[in-house]
This record gives sequence, structure tokens and C-alpha cells, in this order.
Amino acid sequence: MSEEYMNRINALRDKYLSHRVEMDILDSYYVTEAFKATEGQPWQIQKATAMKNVYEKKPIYIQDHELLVGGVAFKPRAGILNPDSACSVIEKELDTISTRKYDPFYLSEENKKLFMDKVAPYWRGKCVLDRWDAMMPDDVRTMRDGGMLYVDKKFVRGYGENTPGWRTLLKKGIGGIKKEAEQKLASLDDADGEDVLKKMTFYKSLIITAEGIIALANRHADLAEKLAKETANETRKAELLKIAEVNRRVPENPPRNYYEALQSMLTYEFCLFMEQNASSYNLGRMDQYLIEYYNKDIEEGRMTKEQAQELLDCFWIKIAEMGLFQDGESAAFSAGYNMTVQVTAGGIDKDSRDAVNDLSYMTIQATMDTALKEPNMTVRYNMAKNPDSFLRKAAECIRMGRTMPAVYHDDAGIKMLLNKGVPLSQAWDWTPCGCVETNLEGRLKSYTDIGEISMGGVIDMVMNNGRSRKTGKQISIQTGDPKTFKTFDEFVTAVKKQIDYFVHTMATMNSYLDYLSEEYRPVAALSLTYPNCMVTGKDYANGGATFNVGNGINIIGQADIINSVAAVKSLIFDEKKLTMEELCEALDHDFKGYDEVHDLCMSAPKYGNDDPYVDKFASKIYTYLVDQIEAYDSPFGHLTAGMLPVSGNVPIGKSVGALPSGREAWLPLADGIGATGGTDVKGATALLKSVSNLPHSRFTQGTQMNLKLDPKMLEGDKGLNNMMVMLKTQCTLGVYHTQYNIVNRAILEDAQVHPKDHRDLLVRVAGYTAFFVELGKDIQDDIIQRTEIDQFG
Amino acid sequence: MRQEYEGRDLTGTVLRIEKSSIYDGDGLRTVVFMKGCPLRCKWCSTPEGMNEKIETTKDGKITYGSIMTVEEVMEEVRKDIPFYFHSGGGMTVSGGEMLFQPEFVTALVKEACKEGINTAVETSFYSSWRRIEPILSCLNTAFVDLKLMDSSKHREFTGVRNEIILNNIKKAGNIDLPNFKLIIRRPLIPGVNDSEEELESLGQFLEKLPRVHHLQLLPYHRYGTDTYRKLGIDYELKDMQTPSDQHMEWCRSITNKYIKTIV
Repeated sequence: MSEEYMNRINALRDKYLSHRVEMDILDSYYVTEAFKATEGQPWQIQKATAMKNVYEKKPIYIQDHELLVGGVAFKPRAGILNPDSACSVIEKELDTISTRKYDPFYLSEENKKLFMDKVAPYWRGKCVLDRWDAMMPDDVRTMRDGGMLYVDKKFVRGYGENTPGWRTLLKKGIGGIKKEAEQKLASLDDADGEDVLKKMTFYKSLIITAEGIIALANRHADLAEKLAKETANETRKAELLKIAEVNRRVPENPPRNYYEALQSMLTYEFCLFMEQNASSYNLGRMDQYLIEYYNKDIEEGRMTKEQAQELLDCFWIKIAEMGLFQDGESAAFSAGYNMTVQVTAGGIDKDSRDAVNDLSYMTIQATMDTALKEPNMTVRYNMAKNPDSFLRKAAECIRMGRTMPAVYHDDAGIKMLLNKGVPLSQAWDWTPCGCVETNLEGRLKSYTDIGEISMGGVIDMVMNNGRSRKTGKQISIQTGDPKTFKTFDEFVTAVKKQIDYFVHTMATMNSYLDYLSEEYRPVAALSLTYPNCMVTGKDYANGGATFNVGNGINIIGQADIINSVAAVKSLIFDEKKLTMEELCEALDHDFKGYDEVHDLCMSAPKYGNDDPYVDKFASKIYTYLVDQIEAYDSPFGHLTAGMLPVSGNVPIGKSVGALPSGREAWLPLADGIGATGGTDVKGATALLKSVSNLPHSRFTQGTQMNLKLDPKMLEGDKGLNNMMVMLKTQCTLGVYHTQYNIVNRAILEDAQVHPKDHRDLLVRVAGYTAFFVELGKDIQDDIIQRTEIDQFG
Repeated sequence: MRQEYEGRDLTGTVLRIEKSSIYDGDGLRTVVFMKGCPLRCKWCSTPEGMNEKIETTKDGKITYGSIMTVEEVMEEVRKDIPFYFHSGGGMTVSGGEMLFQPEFVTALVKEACKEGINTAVETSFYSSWRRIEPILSCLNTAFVDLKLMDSSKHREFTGVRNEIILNNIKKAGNIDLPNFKLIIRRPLIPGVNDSEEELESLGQFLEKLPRVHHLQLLPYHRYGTDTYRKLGIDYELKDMQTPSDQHMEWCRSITNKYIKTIV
């Protein structure tokens, strides 16, 4: 990069890469301290006071070269713990957390002691995770222990998976919102009954939290002033004084310019993350929220485009500094310390016109400049409205091997919002969320991903009549000995019954999750920017948002069930090459000694090759599945579904025996909505065609499609055009999302052997980007093994 | 609905159908490789396309070729229409030598053309003009390989003399078809067809043909050697190296004097 601003960005980036990932205990200590001091108060007040205590006392820092400041822990890239959610997680992993396979966090002896003496004793039996363990029904526990479902992760960490009300934050400032809460509180009388008392408690929690957020910003202003006094470097002194001025102003007040708007968003983002230690507080449509400030500063000559880019790049690095702490098992499902904080560019505006502006290009440029795993940069590509120059910018970034932006077919996203019950008058403003979910800025509440259903497990249960291949125990319902099935319809009936039971068990878990979340997860910091929470006097957790959507169930192993059903139909019922007895016997022995049966299973039609014989099951099975999921209601609306396996296809595969698809026991299930690695032999175009058979827009929490391309294959202008053709055809086919890994096999293999030489090698694990060398060996192997598509020139 | 057209149920031996290729014409293309070839080029990178019969590797693991009807091929080609739409791509018929099965290919190209699909062929033109002409009339692009100007050398390295080929190129190079593009290709095989004299002769020949759009020089490569091993066929050019970029540029500078040449 020849641009001068890149000196600062490269320095910040080098510093970022040098940080060891550590565990912070102090945040949880200050939470505990405040809970103890407010014992007897409503939980909402206790939690708000706890967050205020953290904001007022947590260690803060300002690093050299920084223009935007803040952080969630005592240092960058440290994980934090919400003891009220999942204190027992660390207690269980005390001795392994520093060295565990997925996402280790270094925990010092001193912090271990602080945790065991001052934090853990208070929360035993009291944190949400412990309450869940005490309440968990037997059927859920049995399916969980059998590895058919993954159900614990939302008890470990709370609400995230939303797009906070950035417009409200910028328009009113935290101070303005606090004032509204004070007026509301003053207008109420606690003599008017319990409902009014509840509202008053909520407004009090908003005020307490707002005070804490404002205090935290002022502490950074104080620190900047102190550092300015200490430095002899005049340039840096001026920068520090500017930092002080900005942090004195925001987020308390509405920003006056682009710089202040960015700092306001950043401070609020950090405060939200501290509140729940949750992933995916999405930054949404930054190009839309910030364009007014940007235009004004440029027009009035207060800022150059280079300065605007520099600040945006600084913002990107600060976002990457947040690291998600989760338990070892959850980490295995979404490895890479991923926060999946999404920024999206492009799309349309409220008048259905092209929304692309300077900042749409500059947000993509920030990802090109910083080359870090976060934020999760994406584009809403509206083929009818967005210009080719915008798509080309995205294609250039993808080709650089940044693995981003992921590209969403805008109309599919809008349809998903409509299907969530959001009218078109607002759905145009949708934002991608987390991995590939959908959301709406400051208006929509749901958990988008409460846990996983193993579709490989569904077939496993059909073929073994509900018994675990691992333990031999009955873990699911009996759907009959498959050897007695005389017709394909009987087989399909068994598949459907198992699907029904899997969904039923997830829905059971969801009821407990909603109950515990309503009781023990108030989120005052988040509720501040949801205008409808202010209107109704209700926390986000209790349904205060404008739109409440039933929680999302995540489906893993699409190709496994599709290929298995097609193999049974083709081999046993259509072509009669095998009997069900022969197939069952081979599966019982994991194909060992049954090479011929295995060869037949492998040669049956496979999803991913644009073959209607097998692809029709993608449509039929998944329409049936989403019908069943949507049939379950909750206080927030019917349940929803998505296909965003993150890296969960690896661990969830470890409980699944051999399948009719030819997949051997305990291997990973298929990635995303793609084909089983090595079985899609007709290239990227055929794969996209197959994928288009899924009912994308009904899976309103998104459908995630990974493609891997060799950089050589995208050379020159022609290569760039090929990339654009793929992205446009994606939209023509109604495929919601694609993302591209542009790395070659040789580099990945070398990175396994020499991780230190490849510290900055980025890969798309699934719905997010991670440093390859920070992933577990088996996930690395899985990425290497994904079929490389080599038909671009 | 069943689509009726002439030649719909004709059968041919198809080596394979490849998708999303960018080497064989404009945009993303679906390439239909036909089996069987009258030439035996020593550098052939697709030896599995030479024999018109379906054949299997020595270890029995791979079978090359299958019998398909024109309509079965069209079903595969139609699947990729969304990609043609955005890329300006289409169908390319290649080989082997597509003129080895002329009735089948004529029916296929005519039908694709009728359905609005851009069509191209890759061929040596080693066939009679009466077989070539009906294909050209509904074709967008023909890539014709001209391997050597020296006929006896042509025979030594490809098994056949080149007079028929040169005659057909002359005819096609003067044809009056408004939407037809003729591109000549020369695979450069070091020491075989890359001498100054050979390239001068090639340039002078093409210079006189108004319908030749350009000449494309392709560097020799060894990607096919693995297939020779699998089929148990001896590969004669074992020590042949891929020509350097500088050499390719030197060759281009010679022919470019006579005809627009790209590497």
C-alpha cells in the first residue's frame, strides 16, 4: 500500500497480531461485587448495577497509534466471562482453558485464584447454565448426551445476534435516551400496580446502565489527557487531546462529525459485549448510518477521504480486538474466537433505490487494508439496483484472499424478513447478522441460533431404530427396524418421524431457554437503543422490541441426509442393487469388510452435481423440516430455522455412525449447505445449481454456502468478471449467500507444518473467518479436504 | 414438455461434459467432448479422446465415454443457461475430433443455436467440407487447430497429411456468414512447429484469409501424461518442456506481422 495512512494501520495491525489471547477475570469480579452489594433488589437492577460497576472500574488502556479507543477487557484480545450466565464453565475448565484444543485462553495463576475465591462461590447453582442443568428434562438430556442435538450454547452466553439501534444511538446519544427514561420514570406512580412497578424497574435499569456507559467514555477522556501530558511527541499529543475531546462528547451526546460517530458506535459496541459476552452485536449498514456525517465533513473540508479511510480502518482493528470466550464444547462448534460482528454494504434505501455510496466502497477497502478476521464484512447485493462497480470492488476483495465480503442476494434477505413477520415497509432495511442470519436495526429480537440438529443423526436413528451407534442405548424414538421397510414410502415415514422428534426435543429446550432468559437475562444496555422498549417499558429480553421472532434452530448435515435418502431410493428401491438387510449389515460394521456395498453407496447420485434425481430431496426434506419447526410456537412467535453450521459439522459428526450416503462413522458431516467434500465433481456452477433447490427464503436464519477457489483461477480482468458472473448467477438462482475461500492447498498444508509463518492466513471456516493456524487440526484438515474447484481460468 | 427436433434421438459417444470452463470460448462454457479422432498427435493432452470406442483404464477404475442422445446432451447444456446469461457463455463442442461424429454434432449445434445458446467448436477440420459446412451455418465460433504447415512433418507428428485441413481453412476463411468467427490455434511444440520458417509460413497463409479473426498460440503442456499412464499408452515426448514466456513472445512477434496474434 502506498497510502500514507497505512503506516498507522500496519503498526496497529502488527500490535494486534502480537497480543496473546488471554482470559479476563476482573469484569466478572466487578459483576459479582455489585450483585453482592444489591442482594434483594430485582434482578434487573442487580444486573444494571453490576454493568455500571464494570464500566466504572474495569482497567482501561489506550495504545500507541490509536485514534479510536476502548476495549472490553484489561487488554486487547482477552475473553471475558459473564458469571451470571455461565460461571461454572471456567470452573470446569480451570486447568485446561489455557491449553485446550479449540480457542485456548491463557489464564494466569493469579486470576485463577481471584476467580475461585471471589467469583465462583457466589454463582454456584445460580448462574443460568447451572439453572438449566438443574431443570433440563430427561428427553433433552438423553438426545444431547447421545450427540444428536447440541443444546447448551445459549445457556453459556446470552443475547447478541442482533443489530443494535445505531440510528437511535447517533440521533439521541446515551444522554438523550437516559433523559427519556427519566421522564418516563417521573410520569409513573408505583401505586398503580405491579405492571407499572415493573416498568419503573426497567426504566431505572436503563438510567443506571446509561450512567455507567457515560462514565466509561469519560474515563477514556481522562486517560487520554493524562497521556497527552506525559508525551513529548507533539503530533501524538494532539491526537490524544482529540481523543479526549471526542470521548468527552460521545456516546453521551449525538456526534457532530464522522470521527465522533465512529467512536460513539465503538464505545456502545464494547458496552454491549460486556453486558452478555455474546457474539454478533452487528454493526449493520454502517455505510447508511454514517454517510451524512461523512458527506458533511468532506463537503465542509474538515476531513479528507484518506482520513476517513484511516478512521474506518482503525475502527475495524478495534472490532477485531474483541475475542469471544466460550466453553470448550461450544468453541469446537464455532472455533476461531469468532465474534461474527457483521458490517454490510450496499442494498437499497427506503425508496427502493440504489443505496451504494462512498462508504460502501470504503468499508470493503477497510477489510482489504486490515486483513483481519473481524468485522465480518458482507455485501447486500441487489442485482437490479447496485452498480457493477460495487460488485467489482467486492470481487477484488474476495480475490485478494481476504475471504470477505460474503455476498447476499438482497431479495432473498428481504423475503426472509417478510417471512419473519416484518412488513416490506421496513424489510428493505434488513441487515445480515452473525454468520448468515437476518436482522433489523434496533427493532427485532430473537436468538438466531439456539442449538443444532444433526441431520446425519436423523438418518443414523432411522437406520438403527433410535439407538446410539456409540453406546447402543436407546436415545431417540423407535421408528421400526429398517429391514422390515417394504417400500420407499415406509422409509420416508421413518425419516419424518425422527425429524419430528428431533424438532420436538429442540422446542422443549427452547421453552426453558425463553423462561430462563426472561427471568435472568435483562439487557438494559441493549434495550437503550430499541425505541419500542422505551415506549412499552419492557426490556428487550421480555419482548420490548418492535418485532419479536421465535428463536432459530440451526440445521447441520444437509448433504448427509439428502445423499442418504437418494442412496436408499436408488440402490434399494429403484435399481435394486442392494437389499435393506445388506445395507444395514454394512452400516452396522461401518462398511469394514463391506467394500462392495460401500462402493455402491458412494456411486449413488450425490447432491452438488446439478442432478435432479438427488436434488429434489433437498427441496422436499427441507420444506418438510421447516414446516415442522414453524409449527412450534413461543411467546415471541413461531420457531425459525437456519443452516449455518459454523464449524459444528466436525464435532457433531463424532456421534453419527456410518450412513447410506457412504459417509463412514464419526467423520464430519457436510459443511454448510454444500456438498460432501469430494462428491461434487462438476464444478462451482453445478454446485450452485444444486444448492438452489433448497427452500432458501423459508430458512429465515439464513443458509450458508462456502466455495473455495484457487487464486490462480481468478487472474486478470477476465478472472474478476468470472467472479462477478458467479455472484450474479447466485442471485438469478435465488441462492441467499455465498462466500469464497481463495487459498490454495499447498499454502494450507504448509501452514499446518509451519504455523508461525502463516499467523495471518485467513480462511472462511463457515459463516465466519478465522486464522487458519488457530483452528484445531481436524478442522484444518476438513478445510483442506473441501473440494477445490479448478475450472476457472 | 417433450421438445421435438431433427436428430433429437441420434446417439453419439461422448467422452465427458465439463462445466464452467473459461478456456473454450467466451464466458463460462459447457464443453461437450466427443470421443474419437482421426489424428494421432504425439503431444495430445486428451489421449482418452482418441479412440471412438468406450474404454477403461488398466486398473478398471475409470471408464472413458458413454453413449448419449442429442437430447440427453442438450439436457445437460440447458442446466447452465443462467451462467451463459450473465457471462455471454454457451456450449462448446470439442474432442477427440467432433467431426468424427458429424450427424450427431450437426444436430446438437443446430438445436443449441435454435434455443438461443451461443455455440462454438474446437476442431482440426480434418474432414470433408460437406460435413463441415452445415455446422458452420449455425455456429458462433470455430477454433481450428493448425498444427504444421509442412505436410510431411504434419504426417510424421499427427499421422495424417494437412492438405484437407488447409483447404477447409481456406474455404472457411472466405465464407460469407455474418455472425461467424474463425479463430486459428497453434499449439507450440518446441522443436516441432516453432521454427521461424514454420511460423513465417503460417502467418503468410493466414494473412490471405479475410474471415480469420485472429491466431492464438498455445504453449505445449504435459497435463495429459497421467492419462497415458492410466491407459497404458506410451508417451513419446517424455522430455519435452513447456516453452518459456519469452519464447512464446518471440513466436508471436513473427506471426503478428501477418495476422493479429495472441498468446
